[in-house]
Parts: sequence; structure tokens; C-alpha cells
Amino acid sequence: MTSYRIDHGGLIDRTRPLVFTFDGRSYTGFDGDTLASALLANGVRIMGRSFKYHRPRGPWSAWVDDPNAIMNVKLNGREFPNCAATTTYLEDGMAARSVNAFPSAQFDVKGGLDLMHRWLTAGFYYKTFMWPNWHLFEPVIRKMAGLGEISRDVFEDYVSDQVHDCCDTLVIGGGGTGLAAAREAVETGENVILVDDQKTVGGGLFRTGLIEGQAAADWVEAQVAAIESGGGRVMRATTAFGIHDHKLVGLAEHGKFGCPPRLWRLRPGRIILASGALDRPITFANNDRPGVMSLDGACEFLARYGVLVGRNIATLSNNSGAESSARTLEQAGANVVTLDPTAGHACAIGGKRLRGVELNGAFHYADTILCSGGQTPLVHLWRHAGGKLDWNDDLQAFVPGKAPEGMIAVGSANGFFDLQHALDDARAVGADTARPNKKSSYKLTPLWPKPGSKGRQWIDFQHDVTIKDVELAARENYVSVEHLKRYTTLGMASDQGKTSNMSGLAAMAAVLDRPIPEVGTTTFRPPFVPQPLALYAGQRKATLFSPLKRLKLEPEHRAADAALVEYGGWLRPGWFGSGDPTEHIFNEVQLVRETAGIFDASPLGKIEILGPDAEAFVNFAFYNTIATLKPGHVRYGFLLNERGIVMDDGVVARLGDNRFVISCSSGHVDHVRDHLEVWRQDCNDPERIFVHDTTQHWSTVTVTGPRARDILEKIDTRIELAADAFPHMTVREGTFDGAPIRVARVSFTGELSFEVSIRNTYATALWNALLKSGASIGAGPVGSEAMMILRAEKGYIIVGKDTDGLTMPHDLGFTVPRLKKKAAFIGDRSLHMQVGNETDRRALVGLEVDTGSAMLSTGAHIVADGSKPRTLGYVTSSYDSPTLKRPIALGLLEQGAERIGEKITVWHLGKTVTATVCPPCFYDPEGVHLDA
Amino acid sequence: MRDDRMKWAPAGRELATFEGDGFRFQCVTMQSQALVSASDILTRMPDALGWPDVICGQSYVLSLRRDRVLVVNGPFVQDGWDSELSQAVSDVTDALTVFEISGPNTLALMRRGAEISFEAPSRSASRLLFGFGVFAYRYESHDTVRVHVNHAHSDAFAQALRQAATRMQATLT
Repeated sequence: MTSYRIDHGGLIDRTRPLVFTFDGRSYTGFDGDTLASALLANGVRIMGRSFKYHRPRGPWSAWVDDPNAIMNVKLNGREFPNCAATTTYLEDGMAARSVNAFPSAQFDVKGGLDLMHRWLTAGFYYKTFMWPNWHLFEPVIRKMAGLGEISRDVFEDYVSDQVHDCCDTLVIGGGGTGLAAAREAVETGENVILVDDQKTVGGGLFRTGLIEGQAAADWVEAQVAAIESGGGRVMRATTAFGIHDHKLVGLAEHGKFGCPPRLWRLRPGRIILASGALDRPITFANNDRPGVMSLDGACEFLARYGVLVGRNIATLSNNSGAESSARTLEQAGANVVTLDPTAGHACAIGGKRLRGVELNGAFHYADTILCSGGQTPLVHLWRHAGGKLDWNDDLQAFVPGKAPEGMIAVGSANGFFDLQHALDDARAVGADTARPNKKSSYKLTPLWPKPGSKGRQWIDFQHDVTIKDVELAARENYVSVEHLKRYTTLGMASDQGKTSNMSGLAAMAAVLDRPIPEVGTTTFRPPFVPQPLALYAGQRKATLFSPLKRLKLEPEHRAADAALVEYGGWLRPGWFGSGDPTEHIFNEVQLVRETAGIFDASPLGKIEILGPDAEAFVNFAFYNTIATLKPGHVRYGFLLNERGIVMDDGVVARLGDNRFVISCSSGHVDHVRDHLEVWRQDCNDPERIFVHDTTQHWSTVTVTGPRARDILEKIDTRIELAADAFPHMTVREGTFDGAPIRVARVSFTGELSFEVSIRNTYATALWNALLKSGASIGAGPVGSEAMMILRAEKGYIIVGKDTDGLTMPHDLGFTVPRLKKKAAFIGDRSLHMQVGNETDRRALVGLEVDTGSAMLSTGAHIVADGSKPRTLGYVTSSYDSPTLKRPIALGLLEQGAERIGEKITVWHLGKTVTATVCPPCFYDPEGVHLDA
Repeated sequence: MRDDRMKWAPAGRELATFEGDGFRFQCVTMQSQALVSASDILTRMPDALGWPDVICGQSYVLSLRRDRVLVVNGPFVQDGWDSELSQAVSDVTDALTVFEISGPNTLALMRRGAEISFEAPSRSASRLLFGFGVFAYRYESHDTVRVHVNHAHSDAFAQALRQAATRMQATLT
């Protein structure tokens, strides 16, 4: 065993041992361990396999920047894929297994792929699998690709809590500078939140000795106590994973394994970024071997978990920060040899087990190689917020430059690697006072990948991107870092390039012989570390994903055995009765045609337009002329958008000189209301027009059929219902049971119809009264499916079904306003543009199939005959008509009006049938029933 | 054409009173609610309240936008256009379901559905809560909030409240 647990130190609770398994073998760790630290403590070094070559991988670091130790973890019967072992806290009973390896990470049968590495370079499958067809190879490649396996179980209760919050100052990072800044901010009276992604705040402080005369743990405890006693909040195990517009910060608060994290949408007044810095890898031959690790990572394993990662350690470092780390490891019991990697060519010797390192031809015995290629400030969140980066030549790193509004970086994240310097600076920032100007003692010798050097040198450990891949990409002209990333997959691993990006772009800079800042960085995007989708979804799933509107009369419908179906965002009765719906629907159609049906039409819009300019405004909003509409009358019309396209249809009722009610389509109410509000304020005087959406105040019950009047007459409405007193397309106001009602004689079925609207409170009484009245003559409730057939028989359209995003009103046979309406209306100009005058516009037609043929499929193409078939239109609605005892259909067809009587070919899923074009109205074209 | 009656819980089921840890929500009935719009309505009704005003009494006026208020339990006013006052009136009593959320954790519950705080005032009571357009204000106490929700979405709103309450009470352990 090379790595082991020393008998003292760390933040773990040694009195609480935890048992877990990895790849089927049982191990013991302690409370406070991560999976990675517990495995290292047990001498396990190989924890995964690389993505492409299946090379053995051990952890590179101790926290979020590790790309190697990825596992499927199961606990209490729940398995989660792709858990980072370095950030997954150990729990008793955990069963972890390596991903992308079979049967185990230690021995993986696909490890042989590495022998083929010469042929598997960057972009190999783009080139190799083009012929004869990518899809021939795709299934096998997809099967081989990917990391963990997702559980097939559905965890219904895995739903994230989501909270909005705000504060004066958010400090991101609970290391020394974060704590110092937060404490100062609290002491100036600010409402402060400090977040840190670890359970124990302190960042890398535990790796150091005394801080301002105190032991690290004591110093951290004192800062936390001061922050909390001052009213600040310290949120542990909480990751700031993204910063979005207007300083909206996404925080993921993690709990026990298997619990969905809590999402905090935090809006701070200012953000202090104290996210620290990462130790960079050094690129040398065989630098991906298990046992080659980050020097900082090794010190972190020692400081937090009491784990010494090796017994004989060689350090490769180009910076002044490594010295003290080497001494710390030595004091813990390791033999440490310090080497200077800038001196010449280095090569790790060994396979699964390291034997040493060769530097400039000299062999140095070592079971572990710890690298420190310099510090890379964690600037991801800075970039999310729109902050700029500057290249610092002394640090050989990108550091925060021009700040986004309300954000400031401190400590290592800002390129301040001297602790006391960083603490003084952070305190000044926290208190919002002048920042001290000190010179850093941190020294570094530039050390970057050298193109053309010997051996396989890894840049992206997880995705197996080597320096040769970068060279190849450059030769093939993928020289932009964004192209390099996508061509080689560099930086696209689960760590999103935290270890690989700097080396990758430095390698490209070297290949191109350009300075690193000229090559630039790729785009930093949230999330900083992977988050489960449940975090974003929260409770907006299932019926809360897109909640339907509910009818006041739903309990009555359920009691009447209604099948409830979604129509236009409402849950409505599709038909009444269980069992085969077709039979029920046909019966309901016949009921309406022969007697009468009673239909819940409550979702129909009731948008009131009020004010002295209401008449002009409705006339402006509608394609049809409304100005001539008299009080007590109703008119059908279209609402167009600016492009002259039919947006909705409906009827307008005029209740008085200054009051109209627009009854638009059920599913378009919200859109129509907003459309009217926009135009009210845009082209009109908003002080003289008001739009009130009263749709949900009312329930509407439609009585339709030849006996409709008989049904309505049996209830007391105080309205004269005779045809001459109450003709088609008029509206009357009356009462039912003392409540005001509004009755409109409009029809969507082609039959005599009365739409009775009453406020919801009285809707149940009205519905039951009408059902009772109807029952005496054999009438009953009907659902929306029957209405679909009834309106299609009559040739009435549904906007959005029988129209599309190109349909203008003259395509539907409504030509007069376009030619004669003098007043301006929305869409007018567009109707006269070239597109509106095209002779091959698709017009609404009826379609009849040959006798004995089956009904057409909705959506089927109407095609031109000939050697090169072309779509002339399509079927928009198609039904078996119970009334006509044959199929009927509506469609949009090029030059449809001129094709009446023409035989056309209809194609659907490879089959063709013939049909005859006819007028869209199949039932009662003279309107005898309507005007009854 | 799919029968979804089993997918959706019967309407009204979610509206029952719910008590959680530090909050309680229930439906309350308003005698009347009327939308009144006029360009000078806020001048004529300067007492119209927004967020986080604490409203007292049975009858009150909510400010919705610069030209619109909601009169709750006010005197009867005829629907339609009033030429004298140049104002539009529509009865919406049955269009809005009113929820009352009370208790020390009321704001914590509401924060599950909106970026809301007592420190961020608004002249208007209109806001989005759990994705629904609502009117929200404090009623008679600092930790009681009334929320007016479109009737057709009242079940969904109540369901969202219940689920948020459940999530809020669940710890991460």
C-alpha cells in the first residue's frame, strides 16, 4: 500500500467508522471522509478508467477539480451515476463502483484499447466512420461511450426545494480570505451570506500551520463565530454554481447522499469572490499514471482526512509555494525528493504502480509524483457574471480584470497567493475601504507543454487528450481554442477543463508560437460543477409542469362520468361515458343534430373592452368591420397579427355604446388579452380604452340543437326566446335564480344555439337546471369531441388547427374587409403585400373521399402528381361524420377555391388515396338550422 | 384524445386548509371583487395598497397598476363604463380565488415561489408567485398574506403551495 491513513490529524471523526464497498470489495473509512480519501486510506489508488483508452486513473486532486475518480454510488437502494469520489462524502453502507470499466477499475477488459492509441487520435471517428454511413457504426460507438449508467428506477420524491433569497453581500468561498471578508462585512452591519462547497469551511487553511498566531481550526472557528454572532449566515456544503443576469446567483445546497440538493436563487447586493485557485498539472511523459497527483491535492488529503498519499514522494514544482507543502508531507512521514521540472525532460516510470520519475535521464525512486505547475485562479463565476480576464505574466495565469458590476475578487481567486497579503486585502474589501498595495513574494518559473517532446503527455486526463492531439488539431487548422475544444474534446470532460484548459491553450500557443493571452480561453458557462437536473426542475413536474385550468363545473362532469381531456390549456369533458369513446362521441353528435346537447363552454373568452374609444378600438383590432355593430348584436370576426396572419377568431358582442365583449377561442384568451393590451397602449389613447379579462368570472353553458329553445324555455331567464325576438347573432341579458345572465345566439355546431353565461357561483345550479330541462326531451351533456365533429360538418374552423402560420383571412373565404374596409386595422398593410396577393396561396377547402374509402389522416399531404411530387397542401381536420354517414375532411390547398370538384392525391406514410375537393361546409349550407 | 380524468386530482381537492410548520393556508371568501380602471384611479383612490402594505378592515382597495385597482368587498358599482367618472368597472368576484397564508413562516413559504421580501416594496400588489399571476398583500398582521389567484388555476396554485410546504419542511438529511 502506497497511500495510508496516518494515526493523527485530519477533520474526520475517528470514533465513527463507516463501512463501504468499491468494485465489490469492502473497506472502512471514517465520518468526514470522502469516497476518494477513504479509498486512498485503504491503499486503493486506481479508482477509474479514462474515457477513450481505458487507462487506469487515480485521483488527481482532493476536490472539484479531479477528473478521474468517477463512480456510480448506491445507498439505501438508490443508485446515482457519475459521482465524483473526491466530493462525495462517505456514508455507511455505500456501494461504489467504477464507471467505464469492466469488471473493475483495477482490471478492465477494454484496457487493450490503449494498444490502438496510434489510430485513435483526435477526430478519428469523424474521419474513420464516414463511409459507408455513420449510422452503421453509431450503435456500437454509443454503447462504448459514456461513463456511469443511469438507474432505471424513478425516484418520485427526488424533488429539489427551491428558494429565493437576497442579502447585502454574498461571499463565495469559505477559505481564509472569504472568512475574513465576510467577518468585516458583518461588522460593518451588512446582511452577509458566506457559502462554501465543503462541509467544513476553511478552504486550504488546514494545510497551513499557524494563521495570525492561531491554529487553523481555531482561527476558522473564531471567524465563523464572529460572522454568525453578527447576524451573518454561513452556508456549508453549498456550491455557487452560476451567476446569471442581474447578479442572480445559483446556489446548490447539498445534504446527505441521495437527498436532492436545495436550489437557492440568491440576489445579493454585492458579491465577493473568494473561490481560491487550483494547482495546475505539469505536462510530461506518462503524467497520467495513477500516483501522479496535484501537490495541493495531496496536502489536502493529509490535512482534511489524515491520509498520506505516498511513502516515497517526488515533487515536481516550478513555484515557490511548493516548498512548504513538501515539508508538511515530510513531517507527516513521507520521504520527499524535490525536483525541478524546468530543468529538462521528465517521464513517469511504471504502470499501474509507479516506480519513479526520470528527469534529464536521471532516475529518482518514487511511488508517488506530486506536481505543482502554478496556481490557476478559479475565475469561472467571474466570467459567468461578465467579468474580464487579464493575463498576469508573473503568475503565468489569467486573473480577474475589469469587474462586473457589484462583484470583486479577493485572495487566490484574484491572484494573491501570499496568505497574509490576501487576508489584509479581503478585510479591506469586506469593510469597503481602500485595498492595500503589497508586492507578492510568490515566484514561478514558466513551465508549459512543449510540443514535439518525447512520450505520451496527457493534457485532459478523463478524455485522453494528449499534446499530440493538440498538435494534430493545429495541423488540421483547428487553431481557435473553441475549435480545439470541440475537435479534441479537451475540456469537455465532467470537470469541464478545470485541470486541462490552461495546459491545452498553452500547448496551442506553443504550437502556433503565439503568446498564451492571444490564444485566449474557452467560454466559462454554468454550472461550475455538474448539478442534477432535479435542482433546476424543482416541483415543476407532472401536473405542475404546465398546470391546466380547471372548470367550475368539473365536479358535475366527473359525476356524469365525463372523460376529461386537455383542450387549449383547459381540462374539459371530451365525451361522457366510459368504454369505447367513439360510440359515445357519435351518439353525442346525433343528439345535437336530432334533439339538443348541453355543452360546458366556460373557457370561451369574455374579454371586455370598455371606454369611449372602445368601438374604434375593437374595429381596429378586428379584420371585420365592428363599428357598425349595434348594441345587443354579435358579429363573427378574425383577429390578425401585424403580418396579416389569422391569430384568432371569435365573436364580438356589443353590450352598450362603450362596452364590448370579445368571445375568443378558449385556448387563446391569455394571448388575445395581451395582444389587445399591447395595441391599446401602442396605437390608441389608453385613457379612453380599457381591457378587462373577465373570462374566469363566468361559466358558459351552450344549449345547441333543434330543441335548444325548448330546453331554455323551461327555465326562467326573463328573456324572450322566440326567433323573431331573439334572432341569430344577437345577445340578451337576463337573470337566472336572481343572478345576471348573458345569453348569446351564436352557434359552433350549425344548429340553433344559445350560449348562456352566468357567474361561477351560480353555474352549478344553471347546469343542473338545463340538464334537468333537457332530460325531459331526451337531451343530455356533450363533450368537446362531439363539438369538433359538429363544427367540421358545418365547415367552421379552429384557428391553429385549420389554419397555420401563413393563413390570411381571404384564404378562409373572408375577402370583403380586405378589399373594402376603410378604417385601419391590425394586419391591413400585410394583406396587400406581395405575399398576400400570391395566386397560389393555400385556401380552406373541404375534402371528400371516394365512396367506401377510409377517412383521411389529419396532416396527410395533398400532393401534385408527376415525376417530382410536391406538397400542395395538407389535411387539417378529418372525421367520420355520424350525420352524413361518411368521412369528411378540411384542408388547406393551393388555389383551393379554384379546385372545387377536382380530384386530388393525398399521401400519408407512403400510401396514396384520391379525394375530391369540395366546399368546406358539408352540413346545412343554406343555414336553415342555424336561423331556426 | 386521451381520458386524463385519473391524472388530474378532482378540482377543489387541493383547496382544503393546510397546516405546516409555522404556517397555515386556507381559502377565504370575498363578498365582492371588482376591477376598476381609469387613468386617474390612483389619484382618486390614494389608499390603494401594494406590497408589503398591511391591510386592515373588511373593505379595501388594491393597487394593481397605474390605471387599475381591485376593489375588495366594496360597495356595489354597476358594471360597464361610467362616463361621469371615466372609469371602467367589471365584477370579477368569481374570477379570483383568495388564499390566506398565515404564521411566522409565511414569507419563507412564499419565497419558494417568488423573489419576494418585505424590504422590497412595490406600489402594485401584482406579482408572479409559483409562476401564477397573483395579487398579494399582507392582511391585518405582519405574517398573514392574502393571495388572489385566477379561479381556474386555484387548484394548481394550492398544489404548488402544498408541495413547496412539503419540500420546505423536508431537511436535507
